[in-house]
Amino acid sequence: MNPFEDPHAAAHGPDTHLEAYLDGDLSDEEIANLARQLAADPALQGELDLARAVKTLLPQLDAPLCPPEVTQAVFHTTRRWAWAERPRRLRRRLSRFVGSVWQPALGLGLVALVAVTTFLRPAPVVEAPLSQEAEVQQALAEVQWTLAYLSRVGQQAGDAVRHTVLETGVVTPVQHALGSALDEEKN
Amino acid sequence: MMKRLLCGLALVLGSVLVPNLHAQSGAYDLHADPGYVDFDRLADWFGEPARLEVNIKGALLRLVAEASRYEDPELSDMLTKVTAIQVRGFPLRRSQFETMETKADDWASTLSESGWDTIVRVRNRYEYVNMFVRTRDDAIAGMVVMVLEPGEDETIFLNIVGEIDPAQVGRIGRRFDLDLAYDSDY
Repeated sequence: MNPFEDPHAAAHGPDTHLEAYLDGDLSDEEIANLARQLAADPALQGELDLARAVKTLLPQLDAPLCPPEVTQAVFHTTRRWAWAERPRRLRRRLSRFVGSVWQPALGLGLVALVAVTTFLRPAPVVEAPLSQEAEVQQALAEVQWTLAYLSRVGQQAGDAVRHTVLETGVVTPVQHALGSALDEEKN
Repeated sequence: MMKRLLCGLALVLGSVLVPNLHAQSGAYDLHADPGYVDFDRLADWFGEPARLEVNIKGALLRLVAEASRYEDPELSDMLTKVTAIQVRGFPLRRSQFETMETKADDWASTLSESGWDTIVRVRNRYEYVNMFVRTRDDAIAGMVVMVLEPGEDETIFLNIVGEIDPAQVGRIGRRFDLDLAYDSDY
C-alpha cells in the first residue's frame, strides 16, 4: 500500500478526481486514467465541464460581507482573550528571563548594588544618629527656644525703636510745644 | 554568553554608580546658601568656644518639623521652609563691650556690602542689637541677629537659613517660654 495515497480517494468517486484534475493535483497516470473514463462516459465529461465553469465563474462573484455586528463581536472576544492572556505571557517571559543565564548576572548585580550603595553613600548631613526620639525632642526644644528668643529680641528692639522715634522724636517735642503754648496763653 | 553577562553587570553597575556620583557632586552646600553666615570667627573674637551652641539642619530639622506637625502645624510649616538654624551664645564682660561692638559693627558693614539689609538696629549704652535679612527672588533667604549685652548669657548670635516670615517667627515665638523651652547650662 502506498502510504501517500489517499485512502478515501476511492470513496470520493470521480467528482474528487475532477476537482483535483482542475486544481492540477493529479499525477500523469491519474490524468491518463481520467481521460479514459471521460472518453467512455459523456455524463462524466458533462460534470467536468460544469466543474470547470463553476471554477471559472466563482472568483468573479462578489464576496459576501461579514455583518458588522459579527465583526465587532469577534474583535471584542479576541481582545478579551488577549487581555486575559497578558499575565500568563508576562509570567512566561519573566520565568524565561529569570531562569536563563541572567539569574547569576542578576545575583551578581544585586551584590554589586548593595556594595556600591554602601561604600558610595553620601555622608549624612547630621552627624548624630537621628533615630533617637530624645535627640529630636531636644532639637525641637532648641528650635522653640530660638524662636522665642528671636521673638523677644524683635519685640524689645521694636519697643526701643518706637520709644526712640516716636516718644523722643514726636511725642516729647509735641508735648513740649503744647506746654509752651499753654503757658504763653496763661500768661 | 560571557559577553552578555558582562554587559548586564555593566548596566547594573552603571545604573547604581551614576546616580550616586551625581548625588555627591550635586549635594546641597549649606555654606554656599545666600542665607547662611559663618559663625566660626566668633570663638576667636571671644577667645573661647561658645557656651551656647545650636546647630539644627538637614535631616534633623526635617524630623523636628515632622515631630511638631500634629501639635503645632504652623511651626511645622515654617520649619519646612527653613534650611538651618544656628545659635551661638557667649559671656560678655562690660570691659569687652566696646571692643565687641566695634567688631560687630565691622561685620555688619561686611554683611551689608554682601547684600544683607539691616531691618533693626538698636544702640544704647551696653546694649547692641542688629538684625539683618537677605532676600532672594523677592523672598527672604536668611536672617542674622546680633545681640551684645554684658552678662553671662545675654550675648547671642543667631542665623536662620531659609525662607522665613519675620512676623510669623514673632507670632510663633511668643507662644514659647524662653526658660522652659531651652534647658541651657548657664
